Amino acid sequence: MDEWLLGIVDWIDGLPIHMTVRDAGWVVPAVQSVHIAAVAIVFTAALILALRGMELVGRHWSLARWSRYFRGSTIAALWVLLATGLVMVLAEPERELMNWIFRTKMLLVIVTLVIAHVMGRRIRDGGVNRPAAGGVRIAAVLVLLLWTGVAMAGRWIAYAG
Amino acid sequence: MIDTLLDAIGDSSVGMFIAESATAFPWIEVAHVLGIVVVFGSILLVDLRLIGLAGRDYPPLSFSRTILPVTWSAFIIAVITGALMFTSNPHGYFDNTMFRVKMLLLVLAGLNMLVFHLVTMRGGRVNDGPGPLPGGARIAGLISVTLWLAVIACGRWIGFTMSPF
Repeated sequence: MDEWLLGIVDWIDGLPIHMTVRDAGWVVPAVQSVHIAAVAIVFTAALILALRGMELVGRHWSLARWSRYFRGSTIAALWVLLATGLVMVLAEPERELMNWIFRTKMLLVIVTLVIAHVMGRRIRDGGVNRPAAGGVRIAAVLVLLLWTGVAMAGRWIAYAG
Repeated sequence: MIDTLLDAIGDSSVGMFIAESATAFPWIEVAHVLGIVVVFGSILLVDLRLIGLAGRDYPPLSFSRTILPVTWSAFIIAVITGALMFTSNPHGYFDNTMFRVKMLLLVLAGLNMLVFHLVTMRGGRVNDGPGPLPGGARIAGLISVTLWLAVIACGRWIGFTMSPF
């Protein structure tokens, strides 16, 4: 896989857009700021759902109602994360693609998205007015822990490789 | 006077430890980012409710009351971890323009919150019923989102204008 990814790194290094993004010093921090703001939307949604599952916050709404409330903004923020993430890879392909923490993060993102998607469907299928089953409440905590792992890995990309 | 204080912070055992350890700073930074992410994310929910863009069928005061404890808990984590990072290089941060701008923005965000609570919320103009809130509440929400986005950007820029290692 290393050789294949090295090929991609070389290819990106030769792209004019790579030079443009890398040489404009403000692009990477600006894009990272947007990335963090989008992380805030996804992560806070996961946190509130986990806390609601534990009956700790937002009891005016059922878990299903909260899940519906967060669905659109979470999906939109995930697209922003993908787009800003791609710009970061374009700017510094070697820092990301050749970094084992980055690769772990991507794997973790896919696992988290699958679990969160299945969980979201089960919560919303349960109906707005019925109490949520114990299984989805535990899943909500698991999704929160997984996103925490993703965020940790994200920051560690800068330090290890 | 301020130099003596900054020297003392930098020479403290906590400051020395974070500056010299290879892993302390990144781990503290991870907690700081998670803190600020929840601060921004949860304030955004409250702000969107104030502005009237989302969650309009949730009573506004109950909404703030249930979400803001989450915000404050995360804010405390962000302040403690931020202070710890500061001890690793007090002169570097104190002299950094982006750091100063960030502190100023935090003060402004606090003032915005104070004005909202002491002026806009007073006199029962904001009730806990459904429907749009008075203009003052919506403006406070808009100012708050803008300030916190700027806080995040300044925080990221600090990392680019000074290297801890």
